Amino acid sequence: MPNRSSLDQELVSLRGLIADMANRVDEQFANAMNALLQGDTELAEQVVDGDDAIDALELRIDKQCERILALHSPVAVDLRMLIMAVKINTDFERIGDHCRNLSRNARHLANAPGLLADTRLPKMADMSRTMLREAEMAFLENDRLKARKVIARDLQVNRLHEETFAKLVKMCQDGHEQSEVIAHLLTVSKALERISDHAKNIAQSIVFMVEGRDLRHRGIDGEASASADLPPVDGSSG
Amino acid sequence: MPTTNEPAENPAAENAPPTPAPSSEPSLNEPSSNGRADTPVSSEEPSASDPADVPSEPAMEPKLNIDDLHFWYGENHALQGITMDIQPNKVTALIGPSGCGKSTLLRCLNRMNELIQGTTMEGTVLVDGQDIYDENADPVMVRRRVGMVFQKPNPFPKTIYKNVAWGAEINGYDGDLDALVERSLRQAALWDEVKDRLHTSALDLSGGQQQRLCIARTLAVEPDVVLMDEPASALDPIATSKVEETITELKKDYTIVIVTHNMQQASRISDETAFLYMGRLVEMNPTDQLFTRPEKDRTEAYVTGRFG
Repeated sequence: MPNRSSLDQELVSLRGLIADMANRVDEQFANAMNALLQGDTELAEQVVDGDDAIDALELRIDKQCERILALHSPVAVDLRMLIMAVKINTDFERIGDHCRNLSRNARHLANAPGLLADTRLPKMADMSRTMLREAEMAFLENDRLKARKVIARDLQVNRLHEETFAKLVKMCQDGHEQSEVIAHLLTVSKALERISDHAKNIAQSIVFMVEGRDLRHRGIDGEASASADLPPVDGSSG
Repeated sequence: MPTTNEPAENPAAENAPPTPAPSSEPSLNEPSSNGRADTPVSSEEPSASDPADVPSEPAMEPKLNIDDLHFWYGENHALQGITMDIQPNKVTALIGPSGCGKSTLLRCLNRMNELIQGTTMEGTVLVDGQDIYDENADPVMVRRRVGMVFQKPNPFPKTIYKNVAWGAEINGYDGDLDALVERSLRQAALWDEVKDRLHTSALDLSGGQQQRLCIARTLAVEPDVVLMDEPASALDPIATSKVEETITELKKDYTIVIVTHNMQQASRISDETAFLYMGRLVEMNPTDQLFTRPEKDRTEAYVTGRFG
């Protein structure tokens, strides 16, 4: 039987750390996009430097999860909370990495003002950021419906990425004189698409925690066909 | 005459009339009329449907059927309509807060409750389809087929050998008693620790060894079902772990129902878990499901410690 009050305290502290992580990552994302749009290399430097704090927070959250698992042996919704925490921690940290990578492009884009604003990339960034913030709200409020909306938005970002990718490739083929800048824009588009993927992962983990339902890899068609091909995982062979 | 290498330790066996051994035949109302060699442990009647006609996966007949079971201690309605099936060769754990009825339910499964004055029972309990409360059923035979291990190890103040051999001896077992003792001690994972001191007092064993001795004693009368009422709650972690390993080993040959207050123990050793609350069955599901995605809110509240 878990010691409920002590476990609750540990969970509150864990949720606080994750909320802090989400806030920092969101801020990094905003700064990275501003650095790109305004060609602000100083702000870009600040984003690169800020990633260390996010990495440190990732380690701290994992440690807190390990501690709770070891000391409290949580089950049911508490266990799903811990599984979710470990996973979304990684997703947030990866988004942090992508923000750092985004801002590394700032210096190259600074030579071609206006080119970025000409693409759908600002729109993509807005949508990805909305996804990230909504995922954060869904986490804070245990709101599975909000989480499901985030998941649905990912398709739109993917579509914009494909559109942008095709357009940039076409510009290269047409002999655009700033092909190096275009290569950097491709990197930006990919990074934004990955950020929205991670926001979607976070939302899926939240649905898993609240509903106990795993929404990933729906193409495999749920548990039925997946478990038919795989060995059983109940560990009761002995 | 039973042959034994230990005549000094087995006066009862020497003096016992050569009556037949305890039967492993699933009849509950014929105490001593069956031989054992020709009757394999099986519940199947010749008239039972041809196994070839039965789809292979879910065809397992439950070992125990409990149907609408009610139990009263005087005015106290302790069990309020429990219905559940217990599968053969599985460990089924009964969990729930104190007073929820889990131990009462366990004791109903081998008619231990009727030894208590002022109690009333309604409903049916079938073992292999046979009603253990049938007026022709012999409670002693029921308890031989459905054995029980208690919370506190309660070895007899006799030798280790005597403790295990006791039940067989009073039943006039005419097989190889030494072999029976060894087999039972091996099944209870105690043989290697006691084989050189079989004729020393059982009371000199550690608590965990005494509990495994009690398990061996229960197995020696060749039950089908073993009921365990918090068998490890009085033991230290190492002894607990040995008893748990023993239980996991035993399910190959026996059906086990265990009452435990320790939910981690339930999750470690059981295949199915039933959660009881205030005399009712709230939820019964495969253990991994009950501890990861419980169906009922009350189950979730209990397993996560939000009430109880």
